[in-house]
Amino acid sequence: MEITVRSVKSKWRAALALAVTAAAVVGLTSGCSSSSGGDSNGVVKLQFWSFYADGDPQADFVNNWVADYNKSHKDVQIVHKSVSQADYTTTLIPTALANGTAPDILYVEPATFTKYADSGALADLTPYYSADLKKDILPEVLKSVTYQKKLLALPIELETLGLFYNKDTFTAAGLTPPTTWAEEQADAKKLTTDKQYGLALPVDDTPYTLFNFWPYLWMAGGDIKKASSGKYTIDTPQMAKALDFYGSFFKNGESPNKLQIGPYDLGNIATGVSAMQESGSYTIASTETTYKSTSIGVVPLPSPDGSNSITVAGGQKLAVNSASKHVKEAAAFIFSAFGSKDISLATKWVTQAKFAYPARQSVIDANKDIFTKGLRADFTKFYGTARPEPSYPAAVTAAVQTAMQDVMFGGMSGADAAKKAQAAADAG
Amino acid sequence: MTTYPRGRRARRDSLAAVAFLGPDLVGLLVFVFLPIAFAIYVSFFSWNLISPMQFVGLANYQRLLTDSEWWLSLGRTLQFAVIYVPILFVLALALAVGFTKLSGRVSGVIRTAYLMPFAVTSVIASTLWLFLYQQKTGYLNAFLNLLGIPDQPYVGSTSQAIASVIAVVLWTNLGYTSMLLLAAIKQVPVELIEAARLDGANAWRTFWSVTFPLIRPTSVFVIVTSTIAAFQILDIILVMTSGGPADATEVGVLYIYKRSFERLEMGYGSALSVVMFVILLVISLIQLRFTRRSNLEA
Repeated sequence: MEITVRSVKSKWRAALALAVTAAAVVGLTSGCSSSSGGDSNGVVKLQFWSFYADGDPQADFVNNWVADYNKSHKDVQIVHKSVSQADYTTTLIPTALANGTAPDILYVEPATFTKYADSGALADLTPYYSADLKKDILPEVLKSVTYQKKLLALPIELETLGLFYNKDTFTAAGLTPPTTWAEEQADAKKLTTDKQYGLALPVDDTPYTLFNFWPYLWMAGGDIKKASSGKYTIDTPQMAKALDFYGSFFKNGESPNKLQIGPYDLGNIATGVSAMQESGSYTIASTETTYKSTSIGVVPLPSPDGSNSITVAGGQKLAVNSASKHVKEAAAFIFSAFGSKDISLATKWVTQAKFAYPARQSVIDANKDIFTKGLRADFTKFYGTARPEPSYPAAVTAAVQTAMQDVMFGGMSGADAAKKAQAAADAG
Repeated sequence: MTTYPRGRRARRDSLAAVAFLGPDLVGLLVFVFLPIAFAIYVSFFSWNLISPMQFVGLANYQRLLTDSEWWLSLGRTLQFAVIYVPILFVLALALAVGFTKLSGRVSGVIRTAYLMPFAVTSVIASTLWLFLYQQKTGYLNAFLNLLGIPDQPYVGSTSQAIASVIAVVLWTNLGYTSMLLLAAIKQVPVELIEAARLDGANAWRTFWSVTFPLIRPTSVFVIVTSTIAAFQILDIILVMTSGGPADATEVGVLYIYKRSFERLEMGYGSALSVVMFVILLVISLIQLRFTRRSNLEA
């Protein structure tokens, strides 16, 4: 086979053309990343990412809030973008932080707060909290946004959990909603049939499932605390007791092993998947709209002996990216709605855009009538028992999530699962 | 002896090559080779995406040697591949042979029906199958009940979860894979088939001795690519089971995803990815060597 000199030259020419094209494209793509907080003509531009779906009242609230703020502030313009909620809490924000394209203003929640705080990604908002505001925010809630004595986020809402149930199913079975753990187990057993389960609980290995578990740990008298050694105390008898309780519904076949309709969606009750379901104050609106043809009631989460029910309060918080070039302006924006003396927007968020409890006492006091309407009244009754969702390092939450899976599906006892979780969390 | 065209024609041919190959090669470079190189680089660091990277040398690799969760997840990946690939291949081949017996419009309609799941996104496929898998009220159990079989838990059981996910992946890919094999079968010269028949071979003998050896390149392609795909399964598992119940479906790639994005351990995740890459490379090379040897024998 003869290779002529000319064809070798043309091969090299082809390779060179390729290399030039490659370099050009790489150069173009690397120059394409947008920097956050770009200014033009002295106007400060702030990037704000939310995750509410278009058409949702929450999305409307955010869009109106941004539009009104931009109208009244000529020197600061908020550029708002809505992104997928699933990606927001997993890959989107961390990768955006990594390549410097994260927004100036973002939402954080207990599952992500410690992660970001540990990495120094959140700006210190302590200077922007007035003394009055600090007094107005419920103390436990203020603690939940504190990291190493600094306030790193602004709480905007509290969403608590309760036990929803199908009133007709209970009446037909001659039962009243449970108040103790023994009653809950007995009711779940009695109401489990060929076609229906007694109780729907979250099952997937996700932070939402863990969110639903905290009240049981606290009601068993337990808690996860950081010891002086730096290790977190997971392996306790109370943890074992709570794990055994949660796992019992799955071991006895009284809870579905898989929820095709989401674990927070009361469609599980409305479509007859289960007679009871643990879900939150955020589903009250659905009982008045989508599922209004089903008679659904709610009671506080049962406690071991029927007294001192405790529930958990989750919810989003607003934070500022520590890498933002305009922390002051970004803070001003979020405090204008949720941290100022004017509580109109903070009220609108928890009463019209969605139903949730506010983080501030003044908002509750000014809207007592709303918080006593329908199922809201029931939630308001046990609102005082709410503890904020804790924010632990990822190794701890992953270990407890695994412990839950072990008791639900792995046939493990609570004690063994707790021991395994302690070892896993210690290993990091 | 081959001489290459000279002068202007040579330049035009080279330019044509660059024009056709260039865009894809650039894409490969930017979206495949560079990220792989970067991942190898990051694997020697500790990095949570937000704070600066810290050099840790081989610490990540030393850690994964004793990470039992990682090796268990790799075991599940292997289990997935060992069950999925042979079943996919045999069923797709059977389907392809069946299609050769059909003709006309009926054939087109049936082939389209089998191909349609391939066009469904994994999220929709997962949601659809989750409803079919509903334990008390799903269609599958209703059908089994008619046959006197009690309700099965499917994705709600540690023993059935992985098989249930494999069923969904099979459903998605069967049609497309059978098309590949059908195309190869159609390439087999008709004269060879006729010759075998004239020699007295029955349909099965003809297939096994004539058709099957001649479609070996496509068969190997299908086996190699479906093995790689089995090792890379993530989206269907994320939507259907999130790795549960109790880690029953936590395969290698999902473990890497969780370590990287939920625990923000990018350095460790990159080291795991490199190991996964090497394993896949070895498996692919073994499978390719198998075809080269048998081609020489043929």
